[in-house]
Order: sequence, then C-alpha cells, then structure tokens
Amino acid sequence: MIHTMNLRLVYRPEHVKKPILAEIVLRKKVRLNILDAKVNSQKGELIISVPLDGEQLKDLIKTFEAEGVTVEPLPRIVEIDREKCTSCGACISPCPVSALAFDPSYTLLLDENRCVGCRVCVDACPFRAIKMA
Amino acid sequence: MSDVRGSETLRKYEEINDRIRRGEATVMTADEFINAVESSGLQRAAEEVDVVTTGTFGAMCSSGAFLNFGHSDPPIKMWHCWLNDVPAYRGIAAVDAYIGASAMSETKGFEYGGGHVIEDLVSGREIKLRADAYGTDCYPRRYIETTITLEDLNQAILLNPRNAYQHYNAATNSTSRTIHTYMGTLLPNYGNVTFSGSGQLSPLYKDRNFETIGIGTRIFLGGGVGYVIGEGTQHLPQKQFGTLMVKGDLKQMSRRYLKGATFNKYGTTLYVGLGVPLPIINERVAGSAALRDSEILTDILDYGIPSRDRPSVKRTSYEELKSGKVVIGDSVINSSSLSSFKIAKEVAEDLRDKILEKRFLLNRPAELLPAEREFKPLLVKTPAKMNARS
Repeated sequence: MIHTMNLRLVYRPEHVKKPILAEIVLRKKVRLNILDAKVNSQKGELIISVPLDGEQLKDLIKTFEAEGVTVEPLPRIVEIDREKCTSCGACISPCPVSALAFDPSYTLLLDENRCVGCRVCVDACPFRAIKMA
Repeated sequence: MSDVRGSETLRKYEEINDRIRRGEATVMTADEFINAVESSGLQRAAEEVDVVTTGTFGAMCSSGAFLNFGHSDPPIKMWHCWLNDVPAYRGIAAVDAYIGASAMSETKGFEYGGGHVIEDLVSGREIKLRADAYGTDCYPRRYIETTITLEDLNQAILLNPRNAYQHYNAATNSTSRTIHTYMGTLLPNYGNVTFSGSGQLSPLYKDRNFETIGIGTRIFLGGGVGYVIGEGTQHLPQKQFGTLMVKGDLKQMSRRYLKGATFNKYGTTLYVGLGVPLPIINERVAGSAALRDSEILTDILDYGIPSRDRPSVKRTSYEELKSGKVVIGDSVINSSSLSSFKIAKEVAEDLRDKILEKRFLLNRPAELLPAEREFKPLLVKTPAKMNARS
C-alpha cells in the first residue's frame, strides 16, 4: 500500500509568478492534492498531499528543490493530545474525509493518510485536544 | 409479581448488601448483563444477578459546585466574585459561592469557564479568587484578591441540578451552512449526525420506570461517591427524558471524570462521569436493565431550524447511531457521539469493582422520583396581557 505524504512547499518571491507546480504535475504525472495555499506577491506557501513514498517521493522532492522551492515533509498535520482527549467522538462525524474513527474499544484513532488539515476537528473538539502539527 | 413501582419481589436491599458484605454478590455492568440475558434468558439472569451497574460521561451544563472560602481578616461579605475571572453566583451568605459550569471567563470567553474551574480545582491547581464588596459594619473589607486550592476550602460540594438525561435527541442540520451548537459541529445539508448519551449503559434508561432510583440513592459521581437528591430540572420520565439532581463531595472526586469543555461558538460546560448501581429487585427492573442499544430509540432533530420545536428527521436507535452511519432518505450519513463510551464503560466497570470489593453498598431510596411530570414552555406575554391579568 502506498502511503500519502504531506509536503509544505515554500516559494520565494521570484518564483511566485512561475507555474512551477503545474509544470511538475505535467512532467511527473503525480496526482497531488492541494490542502492549503497561501500566496501573495511576496511569497507562496502550499501544503500538498502526494500519493508517493520511497524513491518516487525523494525524486519529487528533488524536482521541486531543483526549481528553487523549499520542501518540508509533514508527517502529521494534526496531533491529538492523549492527556486531554476523552474519546468522546465529537470530532468524528464532522471530519469531511473520515480520518477520525473509533477502534473496537471506542478509543479515538486518527488516520494520518486521510487527513487533509481542514481544521474542522480542531474547532469541534470540546477539550481542545487536537492541534495543527 | 407486585405491580407496585419499586416492589422488592426478587430480593430486598438488605439481602443485596448482606451478599456484598459476604463477597457473594453477583454484580455486572449493563453490557455484561445483556450478554447474560442473551445466554441464559431474562428470568434466570434476573434470579442470578444482584446488581447491574451503568455509566455515562457526557456534557452536563446544569452542573456546578458550592464553595465555602472561609473568612479573611478583616472579613468580607462578597458582592461579586470571580474564580480565574469566571463569575460565581454570590446571592448567598458572605463567603459561599456557586460556580456554574456554563459561566464563562470575562477575559478568555469561550475558552475557559466554570467547568474548567471545577476541573482545575479537582486537579489540585491554584485558582485566583477575586471579590468586591460594599462593606458593612460587620464585614468591613471591600476587596480581596488571593489564591485558593481545593484543599483550602471548607466545603466544595458538586451540586448538579440536571444530570444524566435518560436519553437525548440526536442532531443534524438541513441548512446550507455549518452550524455550531451544544450538539457540536453540524455540517451543512445533513452532512453529519451527532448524538449524546451512552445508550445501553445509560443510568436512567436502564431503570426506565424509576423503580430503584430515588432520593438518597448512592451513586458514582465524578470518580467519588454522590447521591441523588431529587428529580433533575426538566425531568420528563414518561417520555424517557428523566433527569437527576445529584450532589457529592468534590474533594473525593477525580479529574478523570470531571472535565471542563467548550462547544465551539456555543459556550463552556462540564463533562461529568456518573454511574448508578441498579439493584435487580424485580423482573421489570431486570427487563429494563437488559435493554439493548437496538431497543433504545431517539429522534434525529433538525438543529438548522432555530425554534423550540425542531422537526424530527428520523426516528432511530442507539445501535444505528453508534454504528457511525445513519441512513436518512437515500443518503448514508456519518454519525458520532459527543459523550465518551470509553469512559462511560470505565465508570460502569469501576462501580462494579467497588461493589465487588465491598467498598460500595446500595440503599433503598427515601422516596422514588415522580413517574410523570409536565414540561411547560415559557410563554412570551405582552405587557398588555400582563396588565389585564393583574
């Protein structure tokens, strides 16, 4: 099974007008998903999810870096503070990608591969036990 | 079998306690009792099992604590009082106060409230106490600012006017925008369903007719021992919306079972762990204690309609709600709880173990709770009408 990996891409001001992402998508034929984008005239920051691991992931990171984009792998998007979490379930059904669920003993589980970092669970948690990583 | 509510035809309270003291009592959680009934039948299970324990851990806004601070020198008759900037009720004697779970901090708003103050107290944390006064001949001080801990207080009594709803409505949202409610985050266009209550572990549903629960019933409350002191507010037992008023010594409780919480854009509350031991005094009680999630029904209401009378979208069971998927029309919708089954189960198991270890005895209530109550709305009367009536 291929794991998805989330990457933070930081563009410098001189790159903001170049279609780097589109070119890499076309060249590498990678089916990436944009989770978050903050772009202005000064800089750009994207969080993307890519269904790659191993050598293919390393190759993609190198390709971005060759274009001058700084790449930071994000192994987790959200973190659950187990001290605060009561496994109540208030975050489960609001999650639009079903990344949160109970195990058979009703303990809350997070599937990091599904999470798209939308923050809905962060606000839905009554105990403020979920934070963006 | 006698038809009288609360009749002790299978066993009496004294017999149950004798068996507990001798280490011979058969005690099960409601989950375990359901399995026992499945394997040996209701009649035999009722004959063999003395006590069934229940549990819930959910948001209970009608919760709070009476605190007595002791007297400073010179003394003060507090007028307004704040605990970590959360206002406490001061309409009682000089240094008594009631901190309510849903009171919110005047500096942190939604992020910190009375429920968090109670959790911090029970965790042994220091709390900032601030109070003003107009000053009297007997209480000359006009202002005080100090810190307190749970240990410093003379009394800290958790006293909750409404806890442990027998069951509760589930919630969804028909509108085109996300709404933030006391039932949690509800996504647009019936995007999800939330619900509350522990279903087949629910303390009050498992004694559906209130045959054993009444004034004086000893219970598990916040990790310590508590007592039922009467019906809770909005008690509506004939529709399975019964509630309890409970009290207990906060000094014996634990932060595991009392947690301050915030519902986004709604307010603060307190999650309370509460469990009731049900003595199997007759077969009706046994039958009720054996009810399964599939037999406990509730309505999914549309919280998108901002009215007192929200329309029901579907009648469903706790079994369907707990499965994580609810079918509404042609759609399969994700559902999830707001109360923790994990901790509810822990409460029921802890209570079972305390009884088995002879650390918890049962008692006959001084009075059973009302089996029927009115649930009246608040009428908004015009001044003209009010004048006409006076």
